[in-house]
Amino acid sequence: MFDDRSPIYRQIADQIKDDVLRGVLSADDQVMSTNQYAACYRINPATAAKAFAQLVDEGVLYKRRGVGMFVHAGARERIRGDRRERFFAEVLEPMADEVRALGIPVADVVARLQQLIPGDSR
Amino acid sequence: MSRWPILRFLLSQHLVFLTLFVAGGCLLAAVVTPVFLLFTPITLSAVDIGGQVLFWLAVGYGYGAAGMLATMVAHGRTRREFAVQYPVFQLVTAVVLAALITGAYAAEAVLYRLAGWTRHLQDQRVFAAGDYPSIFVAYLCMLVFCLITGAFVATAFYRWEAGGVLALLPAAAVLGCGGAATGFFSLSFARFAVAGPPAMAVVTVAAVVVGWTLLWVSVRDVAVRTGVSA
Amino acid sequence: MISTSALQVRYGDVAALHSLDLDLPAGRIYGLLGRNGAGKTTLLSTLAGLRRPSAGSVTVDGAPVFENARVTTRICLIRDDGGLGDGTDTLHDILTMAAILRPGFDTGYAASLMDRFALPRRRTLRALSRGQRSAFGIVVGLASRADLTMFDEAHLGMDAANRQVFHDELLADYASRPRTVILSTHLIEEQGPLFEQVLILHEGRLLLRADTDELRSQGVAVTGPAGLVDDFVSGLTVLGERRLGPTKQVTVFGALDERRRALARSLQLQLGPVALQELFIHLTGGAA
Repeated sequence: MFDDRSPIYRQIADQIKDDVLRGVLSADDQVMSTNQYAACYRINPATAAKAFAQLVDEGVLYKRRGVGMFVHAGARERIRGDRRERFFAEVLEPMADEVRALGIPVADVVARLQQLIPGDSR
Repeated sequence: MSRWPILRFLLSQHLVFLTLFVAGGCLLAAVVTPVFLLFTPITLSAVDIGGQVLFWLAVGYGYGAAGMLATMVAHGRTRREFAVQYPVFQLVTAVVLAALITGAYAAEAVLYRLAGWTRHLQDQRVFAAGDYPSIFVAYLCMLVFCLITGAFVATAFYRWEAGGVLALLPAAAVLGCGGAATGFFSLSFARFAVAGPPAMAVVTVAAVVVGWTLLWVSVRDVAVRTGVSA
Repeated sequence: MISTSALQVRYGDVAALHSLDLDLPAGRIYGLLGRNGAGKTTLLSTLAGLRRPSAGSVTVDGAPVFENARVTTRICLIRDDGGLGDGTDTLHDILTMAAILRPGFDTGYAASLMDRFALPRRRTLRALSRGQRSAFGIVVGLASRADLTMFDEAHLGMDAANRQVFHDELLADYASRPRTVILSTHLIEEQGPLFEQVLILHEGRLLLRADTDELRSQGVAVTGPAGLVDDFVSGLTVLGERRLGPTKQVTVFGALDERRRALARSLQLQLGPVALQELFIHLTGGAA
């Protein structure tokens, strides 16, 4: 389920953020409890709790005392903003390195992108 | 928390088993004895012959003490609890089994009288066939010192491994003296001039003091070993 | 809180534990790792009061453990060799015994675990297979509901499916009744995610103690041309290195800061993560 190479709590947090970003989890949806999460993925509950704490800090989740954790109304926008900021550094720049190393014309890359993401005429 | 857990466990499980075992032995004697009639007239007490076996059975059963100690400690009990409750269990067991066997002597006396058989005991016995108080005390004493001897020899071997062989010396002394005093294990060079319940009691008390001391010395801080090292 | 202070255990002249100081706050799951002979079993036996410290002390909530029934009845150590009863005892008898001896023992829970592992109650301990004996140890260990529950390689011989049952039951019961659990194991990849903290014992000493998740990000594998890699790692804690022709891979310990990462990028060195198990092997002296 989780790879053994990076902190599990970070992997959990990323997974939940992915779910929010893709709309699997909507605003005010309840997420699984720490113990449910731990049981489901066979991990220490403290690890799951750490992921949730991080998501609360980042404004993705909020806590309702005695009830559980819920998705913040602005979570999706916030995650989208963060990911956009990181997109160029983390996705595009390594890709540019690869494009340069392989000698692919930039025009080909752009054409392919337009093909993959149709309807974006800007 | 309920009290005396080791004792409660041993009484509820082991004593029941031991009582059934000895009672079964008595019944077996009752069934087997008439068979001998086919070969020879019956003159000897079957219970008395069978009772002889209890001497070594008690030593052997007592030898289970080391394994019992390890199990008790593994289940969260202490050596000190064991050193107190296990000997108390042995004492209770000795009382129950001595009473059972005394009853067997009495029942046998009735059966033999009805059948018209004569009933002799073994030569070295210190009690007469109809002297039930003495029979009870002799068996009680014998069981007590045999059980504790088996126990301290076992725990000595558990603790000192090969060095435990030294415990065989006091064990031999206790079994020799006790056997002579109670008439169950009589060596020709170690016969007591004065036998009878007082001698038995004195010897048994001395044996218990020696046996319990050795038991305590060997268990008090013994390490309960694990099968695989480190 | 479980504490050891200057704990020493010797077997004759050989010291198995050297002056160990350890404070384990209650209510967590700890993983105890170490190579063969590192002293794991000795440590667990001493924590459980099976063995008296040669020097130093072991306390639970301030009270000494050895020969203290009030404490030892709240501790359960399940060892890989059983030791729960005589070989001729049936499982039923051993559960009855445990229920009498242990104040916290939950007979109903034990029964449901017996079913989950499909263990035969009327069979004797001796007649069980290796894996069944381990599963039975786990039944007793969990049903004892001891405040300090320790499993010393208790999964030995259990198949993957039954180990999964063990992990599921452990997490479920831990969630409903939080207590301190110590798992000693060589199955680092498999059981690592269960631990909140890992303790690495090496040659009788505590080599490292860390939150499992922190430790996971502590190892970095640097790969690239040998000369560049050597320059890059100088001053870092190097755990091991491998060469393949002109390429070299060095495993370093300690998270890299942003400046180092930028340097690696500019030198075109590859930075890769290191799995917990690899990290453990490196930390404890590498593969022999």
